[in-house]
Amino acid sequence: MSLAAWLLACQVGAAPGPVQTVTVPLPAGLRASAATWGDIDGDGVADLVLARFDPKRRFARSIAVHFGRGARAAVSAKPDLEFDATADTSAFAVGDVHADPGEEIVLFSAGGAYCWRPKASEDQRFVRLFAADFLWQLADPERIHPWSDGLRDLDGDRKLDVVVPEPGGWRLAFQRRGADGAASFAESVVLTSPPEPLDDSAYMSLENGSPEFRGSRRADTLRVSFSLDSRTTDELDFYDPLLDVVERVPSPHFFDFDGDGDLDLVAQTTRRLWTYLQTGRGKFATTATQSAPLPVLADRDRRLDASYAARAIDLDLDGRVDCAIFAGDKRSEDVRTQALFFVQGQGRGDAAQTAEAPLFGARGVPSQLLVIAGFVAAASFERVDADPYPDLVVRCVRPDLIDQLRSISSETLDADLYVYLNKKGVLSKKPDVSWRFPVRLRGFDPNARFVGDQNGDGWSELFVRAEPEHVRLFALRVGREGASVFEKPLWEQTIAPEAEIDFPERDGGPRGVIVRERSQVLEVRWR
Amino acid sequence: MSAPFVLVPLAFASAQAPAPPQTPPQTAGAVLELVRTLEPALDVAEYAFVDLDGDRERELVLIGAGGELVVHASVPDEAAPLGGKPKTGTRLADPAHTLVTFANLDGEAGEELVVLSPDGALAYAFDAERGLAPVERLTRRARFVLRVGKPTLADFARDVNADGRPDLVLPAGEKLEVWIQGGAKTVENGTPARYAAFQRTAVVATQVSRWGARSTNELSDVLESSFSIPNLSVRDVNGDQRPDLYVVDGSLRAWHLQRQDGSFGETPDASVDVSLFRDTIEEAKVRPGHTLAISDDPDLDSRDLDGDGIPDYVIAHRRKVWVFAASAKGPQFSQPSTILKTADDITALQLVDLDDDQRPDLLLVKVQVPTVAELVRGVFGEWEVTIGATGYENVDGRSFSSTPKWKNELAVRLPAILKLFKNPEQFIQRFEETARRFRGGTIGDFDGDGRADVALVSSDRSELELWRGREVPGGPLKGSALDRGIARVLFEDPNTTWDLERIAGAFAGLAERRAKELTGSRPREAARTLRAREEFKLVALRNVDLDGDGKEEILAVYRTRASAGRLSVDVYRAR
Repeated sequence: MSLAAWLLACQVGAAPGPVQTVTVPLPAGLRASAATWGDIDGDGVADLVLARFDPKRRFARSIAVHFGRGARAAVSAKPDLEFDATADTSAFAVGDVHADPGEEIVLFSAGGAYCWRPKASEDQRFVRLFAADFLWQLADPERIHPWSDGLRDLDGDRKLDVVVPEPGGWRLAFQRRGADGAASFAESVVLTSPPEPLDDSAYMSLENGSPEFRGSRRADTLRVSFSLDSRTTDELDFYDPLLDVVERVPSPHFFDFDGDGDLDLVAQTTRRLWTYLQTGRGKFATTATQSAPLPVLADRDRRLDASYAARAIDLDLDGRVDCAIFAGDKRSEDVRTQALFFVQGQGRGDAAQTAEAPLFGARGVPSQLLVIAGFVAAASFERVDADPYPDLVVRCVRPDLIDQLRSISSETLDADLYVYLNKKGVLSKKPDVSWRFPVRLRGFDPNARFVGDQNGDGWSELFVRAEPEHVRLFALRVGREGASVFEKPLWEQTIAPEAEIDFPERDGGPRGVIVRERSQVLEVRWR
Repeated sequence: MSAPFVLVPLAFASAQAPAPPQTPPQTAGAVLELVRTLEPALDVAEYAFVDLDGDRERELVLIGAGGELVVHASVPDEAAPLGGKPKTGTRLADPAHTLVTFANLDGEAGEELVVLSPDGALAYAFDAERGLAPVERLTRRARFVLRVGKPTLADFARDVNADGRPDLVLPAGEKLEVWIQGGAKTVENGTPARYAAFQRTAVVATQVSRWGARSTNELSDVLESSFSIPNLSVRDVNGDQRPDLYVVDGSLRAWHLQRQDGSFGETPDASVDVSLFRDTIEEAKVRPGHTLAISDDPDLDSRDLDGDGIPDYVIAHRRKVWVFAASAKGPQFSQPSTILKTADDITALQLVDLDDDQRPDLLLVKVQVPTVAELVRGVFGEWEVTIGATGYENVDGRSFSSTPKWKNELAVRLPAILKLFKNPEQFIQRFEETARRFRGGTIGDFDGDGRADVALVSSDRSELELWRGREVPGGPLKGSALDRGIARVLFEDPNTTWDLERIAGAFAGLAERRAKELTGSRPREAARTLRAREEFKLVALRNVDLDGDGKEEILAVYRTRASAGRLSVDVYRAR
């Protein structure tokens, strides 16, 4: 379909059409805390799965499934399946973990993982998959958190395995099927996370059971707090906490580190990058088999750096993991961010890698360095152009006095989006796409991300929420001068200002977003 | 069986353990002597100095991360304390799900180790043969099922009803169970139980705070699960001298009054849903240029307003304030003694004795959200947040003056947002530097002369310093002194602008004043070099009489930086 034809066919909020928007009302008084897609009934059409709660009753949480009605039809407005979550249910995911047709809802609690089989008789509806010490042991009174990263085919047998973060490491439970198709998760391994020296966790240190200092940073938030003894004579003051529990583990990432064709676990601590090799189908070393010093320490100073992030990614698609590190340049007068890329096999000279140091090299010198003006609020790797290489997409803010003075009247802040195209593992030295857009200075989660090629021109379209009450889809215009963002959106939709947006990802599944408003959910599918 | 930790006699300390360098400057007459160094060879989850056997000497109890229980005691007539062979007791069965504390359960000499686990509540007592070993199950039904990772000290054995016997407060998710000790002793196989029975007398809601980090987008992400369960709030709210229970459950506040027999009613004797108190004026939101409204939920505060020894209550919502006087019947929320309307929205409310007349006044604070123009200017240059403070005088213990008696506006000047974002560490270090001026220390009778002595860590944290024979003032700023401090800052100080330097300076001033109070501005009398900070983190300084001679030893407890589980203890004596 040509771009023009696609534009003609695309109507705001119209259904059916290339963009299909379906409104799913929530039962009176209930709200949705998370949303995703899954094929629960096994008919090959994605169904809408909602985690819901009653804000007036603690632990009144439920899961609802709205069946999809075919490729171009809406999901059902009323839930086809629903169940109340038990008080200990902490998280959920959707995937095929049972012999039943279709996918199951996988539930995680302090003691392990379960699955919900909607078509089974009542006494067999909940099946325990395996025991584990799920990191998030206390359920939230309102939210059942999604843990979609917990389902992944780790051993390459095309069956979903389960990753459970535990206080001291990660439990990997492998799905095995019997001759009759019955699933078992009896085979599992626990990988022990490397110990952190006392000072390295000091940015969130504990002494005598109470946090002394806490710091955290997200793309849009920098938070630092000290705890002081503020005991006053207020008669309602609580005593000291009866119990403080802090459990943490590095985020696990699965990539092929050594190029042998299977996934290994890669995790980062304050000073080192650790690798747990998979040496055979589901055979993981329980302690790290390799480690390398990080070229940029992830200490307290760095964790509070607004631009800091480290990402694992296979940049040159050679099957081996590479690494990108973004860090504020503190020696520069201007605000700028350095982006360091370590691509296995691409380092030359000082950046040359060795058999002992295949990623960071012996000297920790990157194979490529980019300097980006401003704070990097978020950096990700997305497919923007037609080739399969992941391109670098950077959203940043450049503190510029004149622009900021202008923003006084408009109550907006100018943000920049840069796309650096990836040419076989080497990123462009300058942005191939550079787009400045105003973001409203209001309390909401701004967003700008590429969501795949919707109009068939080979380039991905850009989904943007720069104002609380509007979402828009922009196409890229590609010419001799390079690529730029069409100013006129392909599609736009008004949403509730307080809405939250989910971007569920499914291989081969529907593409789109799910907008959670106070009393309804908007399901937006691109095609 | 090998000893689980190594005791290093002083003569070999330098060979076997990185004992602190010997230092020197001692004033004539005073000596600070290192008499024992312990380097336990196990990962220590918790430690305590407790008199387990009632001989008035405190033992060192080590609780290993794997549930090991090790007691180290002093040997009679041995010069240096804690010289006995470490005694290993019965390992805790489920260390990852175990809370521990020490309490004197039976009123006999010596304390027991009290253990809460999925197996119920157990008492462990010490004897020379078995070490710390279980002696009796207090109740099987008080099951603790949360995961704490390793044995964790928690203050769950408290005398809730003030009858002189410890009771149990069991954290059970969103609830706290109160188990009162006092039932008849059970008899099993003809043998009466050692301890009185525990009975569950109340189950009260509690507000569990949770934090979580779940993002896996970045390699640098750390997954975190944290929660904090507040302890039971116990206070006499009806003036009968018996502590009562106070419960917060969402917007509901409830009080369970203690009966004469020491029990509590299952249902509350007084309760109020604070969400019912609404001002009908439009809801304040966080908007540039307007008053900061932290929450639209009503705020409840409590202090004794009329001096009858019974706390009274104030509820504020938006611009309206209700005052409720309590009586010997307890709290009541049906008859407000006064209702006050303010001219502006309120950010925070506090009952503070602003005029030092022993009757708390009503302090209302409003924080002005900067305008967009101010915020944008603040990106590059300094910017200010305005704080308005208004004080309403407590007139008769039941009402406040209808117009404010105190009024002032303060400005907090903040550094450029850009500067803050570019190098937040610079600001954190400034406050850490200030925090370091609050010198750790301990006060006790180190030389047995009946007068208080002071041991302080030096400002650079490299030395332990000693002052003897000082009359030292009590603990941290509290009560009326704190109220006076608030009044001075908000209404009396002519300089109403505060920047970070001034705030840090004020804290530093407090720290220095406290140090002067403790030392009398005299030069130290003795000092010892502490362990190297590069290798060891000083986590506690304690004063404990380890050998029962009436002279308290000074204990410096360290964690090893390379491995947080490893503990080192240095024992000092002052002469």
